[in-house]
Amino acid sequence: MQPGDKVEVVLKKGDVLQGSFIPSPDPEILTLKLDSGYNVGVIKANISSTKLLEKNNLQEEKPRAAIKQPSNLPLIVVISTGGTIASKVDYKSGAVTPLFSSEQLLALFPELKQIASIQCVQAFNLLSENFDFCHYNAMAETIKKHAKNVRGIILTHGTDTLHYTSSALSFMLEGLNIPVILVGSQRSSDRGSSDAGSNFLSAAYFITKTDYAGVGICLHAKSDDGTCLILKPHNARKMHSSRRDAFRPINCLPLAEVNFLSGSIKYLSEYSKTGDSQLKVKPFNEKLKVGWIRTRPHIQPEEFKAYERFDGLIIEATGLGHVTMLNPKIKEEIRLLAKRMPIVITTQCIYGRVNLDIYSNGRELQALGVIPNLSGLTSETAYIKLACLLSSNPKANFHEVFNKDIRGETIPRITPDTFLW
Amino acid sequence: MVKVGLEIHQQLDTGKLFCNCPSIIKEGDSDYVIKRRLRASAGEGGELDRAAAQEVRKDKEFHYHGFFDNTCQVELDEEPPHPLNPEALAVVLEVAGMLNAKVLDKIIVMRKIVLDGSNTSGFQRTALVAINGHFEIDGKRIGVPTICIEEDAAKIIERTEKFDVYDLSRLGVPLVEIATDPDITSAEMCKKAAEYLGMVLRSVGGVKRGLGSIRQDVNVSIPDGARVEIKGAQDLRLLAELVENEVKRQQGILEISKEYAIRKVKLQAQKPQELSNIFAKGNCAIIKSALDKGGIVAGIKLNGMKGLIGRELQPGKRFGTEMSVYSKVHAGTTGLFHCDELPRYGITEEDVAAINKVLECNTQDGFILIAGDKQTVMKGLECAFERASELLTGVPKEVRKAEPDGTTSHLRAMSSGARMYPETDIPIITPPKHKAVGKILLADLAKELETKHGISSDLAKLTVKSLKVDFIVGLISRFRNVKPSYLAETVLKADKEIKKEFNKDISVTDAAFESVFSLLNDGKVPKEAVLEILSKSDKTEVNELAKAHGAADGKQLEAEILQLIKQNRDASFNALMGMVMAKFKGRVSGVMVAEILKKHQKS
Repeated sequence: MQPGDKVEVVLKKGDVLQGSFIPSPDPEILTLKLDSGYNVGVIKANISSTKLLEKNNLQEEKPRAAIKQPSNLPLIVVISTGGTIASKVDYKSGAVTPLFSSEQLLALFPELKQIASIQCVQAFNLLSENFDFCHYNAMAETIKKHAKNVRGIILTHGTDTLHYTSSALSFMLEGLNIPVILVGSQRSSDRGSSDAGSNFLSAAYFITKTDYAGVGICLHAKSDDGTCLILKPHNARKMHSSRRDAFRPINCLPLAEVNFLSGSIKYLSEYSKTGDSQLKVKPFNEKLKVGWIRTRPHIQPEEFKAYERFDGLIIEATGLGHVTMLNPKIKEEIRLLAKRMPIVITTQCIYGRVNLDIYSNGRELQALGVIPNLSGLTSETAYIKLACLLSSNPKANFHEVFNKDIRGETIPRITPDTFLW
Repeated sequence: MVKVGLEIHQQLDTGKLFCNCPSIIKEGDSDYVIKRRLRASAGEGGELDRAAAQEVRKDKEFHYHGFFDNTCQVELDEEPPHPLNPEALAVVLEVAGMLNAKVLDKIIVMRKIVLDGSNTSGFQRTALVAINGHFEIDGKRIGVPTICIEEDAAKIIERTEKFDVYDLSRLGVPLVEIATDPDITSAEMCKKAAEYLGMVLRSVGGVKRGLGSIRQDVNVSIPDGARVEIKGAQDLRLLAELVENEVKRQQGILEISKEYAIRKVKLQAQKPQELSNIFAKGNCAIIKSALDKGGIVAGIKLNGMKGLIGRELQPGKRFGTEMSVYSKVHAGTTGLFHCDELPRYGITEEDVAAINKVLECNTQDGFILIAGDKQTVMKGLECAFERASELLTGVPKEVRKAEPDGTTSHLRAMSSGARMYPETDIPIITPPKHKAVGKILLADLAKELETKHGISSDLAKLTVKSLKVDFIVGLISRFRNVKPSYLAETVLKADKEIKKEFNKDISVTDAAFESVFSLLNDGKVPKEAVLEILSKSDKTEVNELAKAHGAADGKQLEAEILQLIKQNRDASFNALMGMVMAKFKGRVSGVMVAEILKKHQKS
């Protein structure tokens, strides 16, 4: 039986079911789509006979006719990497399949035709939790390849690690002269309520109207539909597992707010503007190992020891950056690790800055040779920045370079309006 | 012969279907408002369902009003659904058992695309649970092809030009949907079938009661007619009327199309003509108000339609009404005028003549007029014309709305299976092995109350319809010395009787009933005192109250009665009876007094 074949199934109890055959992941189960639209599952052992009524005469989906795009509109290159935003649901099987042709994208979001001319490129098709540093390198190269003569780039991305990628790309793309906006979505595009379209349109509006040069993130501003935020690449975080407005700025304000109904933009922060610099990619060392420990009550010294062969370590500590100093074994492990690799202390509070001068625990920790994250970076950005620095110069004096600004990621002033923005 | 099928939607009295919110409906000012929009998303190769396409309007905003105590992120489409509520499924499995339906091996939750804003997600979650059931009405077998479990939609509060307002309380409340085959052959049978299904649902328990907790849809077709779905009858009494009126409507449409065919004309597409000049000085208030606002009035010829447009299809609804409603729904017009109702509404004979001239109508030709802003008017005339030509070829398949007066109006096109695809967030469910049904049908219970316990037919019916049925049956089996009909009547009517007798608003608790009946059963209070004790049971313990009404001592009573007889030798039995009862108010039973009186009066 082929998917879509019309079949009649007679059950041992005598009931008769008619519908289209749908492949089932469970070999014991036969799945049918009834004419009413309902899918039903029948245990194969309960079937007395099956009859083919009609072969599936549905053609494979025809490739869409090329949509003529007006050449007077600014060109946006869309690089797809996978995730909810770049997928569509097969209405017959319910399976999610990638979406990457310009035609498919324009068919899904027809308003785009009025905003920009679109060219689609697929980098890969992965959920973002599967990303490694090699994917960052591939993305950066794809961006570099398409960055010439375009108004900007939209990179579609799964939301789980989107804020790591934005940070990584920002550090990697030296001399970037265009906006590169990472767009994700929290509700898949098959549903009427999907945020994919509005997030995508907002990014397109922003790119065509802004003089911002750099990487950004674009998702919903609120649970309501109406506006999206453009967030700075380093100081943003996924703060909710499922809400549309999951991405929030940390320790700073958003870069801008875009009204996706009118296309208007409101800037909320200072930003770097386009210039005439040369784009260079500073790749990640794909063999690099950077560890991450989250301290907590009852933490064990062996956990630190596990990282002895790593190249760097983030300790996501409590409060202002504290780690227990009562356990001499833990102290000794940190002291030994700090001799081998840079160790950056960040805070698991998410908001606020690390300061190891306030309590004696902090001072003792500093004396072991760690580097406090003084510049208000999120732990995720500290992790990416450390990896980036290790990639370009493993022998650097990290105590000196870590808190120096590279792409505007450091936050010299945390203003009171930024908390829980 | 008419063929009628029923579709019953009954709310279940469990928590919501896909989250842990309680299914309580709140009213009043909401705690929050979220504003959203929906997109039609079937442009990516999937068949676009006609109904779904009609529903979506790109510029429409939806305002969702919610309360924190009965909604969470799931209703807001901000969190994936939780696993399907097993309690709700258990109720549906019971219903399936009572209707002899076969539960499917695997239950697959589907998404039914709904773009009118009533579901925040843009779809309704629904699953087929059981198939091929049946029941009998007057000896006729009625098939139940499907029994589904689904989530209820948000309730519409207000529709405006720019946005629709919904209340989220109801969204996610579990529903059981029972569909019958079109085996019902009369309006009367339809009502009986709906009553039977309602009774089955109440027998199972676990279903909500009260207005809005059950909704009946009917589909009606007559020979040469078409399957028309009528949505949202909340009142059983209306069902028969809806069916009768729909049969009339379909017959009327068929007659008109036949008559039109006899006239040997074919409806020809016409260009709408603006007629504002004719009405520049007119007295028609509706047209004048449109013109004053900068709008227009325009008309279109319907060749050969004169006399047919005014033909009644349902009480108070004409062929013209069909056109009018259709253009209201699809073009946003406010109404139309047609030739067969004019001159009227301030439109004069001369105006009609002038219209006929401009539209080039001969004596057989009809016309319609619409006033309003130009775009709406033009679209409205187009829609009205489309509707007329559709009706002249027969009865269109469609979904209609039940009106409170028993008539129906056009709602939307019929939806197809293309509306559904699997809900990938919910794993496939294996229903728990279905145990034999332990519930007794309320109809059977009523019979048992009648035959076994001597309760009158009316009281038995009243008892099983009441929410207290289980309580009453329990009392009957425990308090054997109290007459069952007295128990039932007292529980059902105590509140009302207390209001009548003591002018007091009270809702007597089950505990108070139990205490009183227990005392009555043991002969510790007389029946005459029951109502008075219950009337005070909100403030004082029943056992405490009973002390004041404690049955009078038998010997003392007899002595007192003898005394009275002596003092009033000429008094009649009834007079004596009255005297004793007044003296021992609420402390003696009439039966006992009568017995003693009879004994001593004789001697």
